[in-house]
Amino acid sequence: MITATEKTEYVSYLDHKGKYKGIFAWIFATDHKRIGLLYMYAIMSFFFIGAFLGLLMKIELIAPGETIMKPQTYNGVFTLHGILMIFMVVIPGLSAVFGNFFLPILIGAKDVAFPKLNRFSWWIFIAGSIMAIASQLLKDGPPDTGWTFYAPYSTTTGTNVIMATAAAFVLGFSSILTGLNFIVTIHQMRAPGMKFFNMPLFPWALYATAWIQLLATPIVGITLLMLIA
Amino acid sequence: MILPAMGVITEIIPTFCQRQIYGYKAVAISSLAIAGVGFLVWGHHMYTSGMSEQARWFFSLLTFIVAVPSAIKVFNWISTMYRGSIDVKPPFLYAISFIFLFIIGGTTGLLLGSVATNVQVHDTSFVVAHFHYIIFGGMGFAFFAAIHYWLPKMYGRMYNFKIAYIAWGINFVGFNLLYFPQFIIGVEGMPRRYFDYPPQFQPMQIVSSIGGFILISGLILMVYNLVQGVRKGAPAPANPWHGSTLEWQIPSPPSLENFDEEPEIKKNPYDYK
Repeated sequence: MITATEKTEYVSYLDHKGKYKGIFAWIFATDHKRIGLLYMYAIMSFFFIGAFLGLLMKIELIAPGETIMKPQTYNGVFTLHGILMIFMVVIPGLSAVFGNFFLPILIGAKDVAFPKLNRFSWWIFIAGSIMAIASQLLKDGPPDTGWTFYAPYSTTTGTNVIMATAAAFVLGFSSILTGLNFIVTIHQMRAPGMKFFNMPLFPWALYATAWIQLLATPIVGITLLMLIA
Repeated sequence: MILPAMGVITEIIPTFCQRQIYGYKAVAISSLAIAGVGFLVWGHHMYTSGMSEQARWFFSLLTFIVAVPSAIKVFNWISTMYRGSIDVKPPFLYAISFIFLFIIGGTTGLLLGSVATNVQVHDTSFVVAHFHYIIFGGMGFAFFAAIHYWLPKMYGRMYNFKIAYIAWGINFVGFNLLYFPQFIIGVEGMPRRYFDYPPQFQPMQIVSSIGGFILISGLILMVYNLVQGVRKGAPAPANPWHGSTLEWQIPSPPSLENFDEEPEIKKNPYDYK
């Protein structure tokens, strides 16, 4: 086996010098490992914002009646908590971070099938996240429907529901592309000699999830569009 | 989105029991089964919104069917642990607490999947509690298990075990204090997404809020420990957990193209030692 001590010229992916320098070495990276870490930093930040909002709700609920915020603020807080935690933490969560990092390694591949598409997925993810945050700041006020955007209330409330659903729609593209990438990777990039039933079980779980991401996310996206229409 | 979480747990449990996973094919195919049936259960969110009696019956049945492959996985994890030589390290602690919380979340999911009980607790904090047990206790704890498991591989450095154990304890206690009371007041009729409530729910709400503060302090401690580990932890060996999958065969952190030579593929995916 190759270890760092045996091969003197060994350079890890963290120390590798590419075309770009500084922060651009990360945001223009096509290496699946760096993209996995980028997702992890973004997701952990959103997770802590979401957890802080959850804590605000728990403080509000410590006594009956108004404790620290107005009812409408509370509606905004639980909606943003849901949007952040579901669309920006849980859905990308494990598959984008650890899937990106370890799926190619576990099946003996160099990278995912479409490294540039992978980088593009991360950019879309960030764009969608910025839209979700923008939905809080625009003039009609934060959405108050809960993250599920259940009609009919979501079609009649005056708040920025359209911006928030558009954000979820854009974030959906990131999931779809990641799912597509993983399916092709698992079909095409397995090391010579590795059959489906020679794969470890984490790639199996990612494979099943990728099909859901590819087939079910468009349907969710379309239903979100119906809210706007 | 619980599937990748199950995948992570399926990798971690055998590593720390020094055993092969029990029932490899059953676990693999149950993933596909959950994905397949998962497409068809959306109706279980809508029992009270005026769908027909037949549709409610059908969606309820499908929802119960999802429980079967999930339970197969839980059974396989526990069978893998049975008579294994268990090495309790931080990733393993998160993995077994995943199983514990997932069982609570899953069985309360059956209560919600059944039409009769669902109509009673629809849109109460019972649903909130069930959801957080599955999503946070499931997916969240699996995420923490995965970070603790793979961080030495990702950065080539190790975190402090002692702080990791303490943070795990705080997280586990805080989590249950935060969400379990919501089951109780949910059955009693506390609606979700309300900022106000009648005074009889206050004791449980206070317990829940205290749990929230405990949980967040545990999370901060956990992340602090991981960041310290990444910045100035001791260098990690290539295979700190005696894992038997391919990623532990390459140095930590991996090189740009992962494998400097074509890896030799073995018939059994858990034979790379």
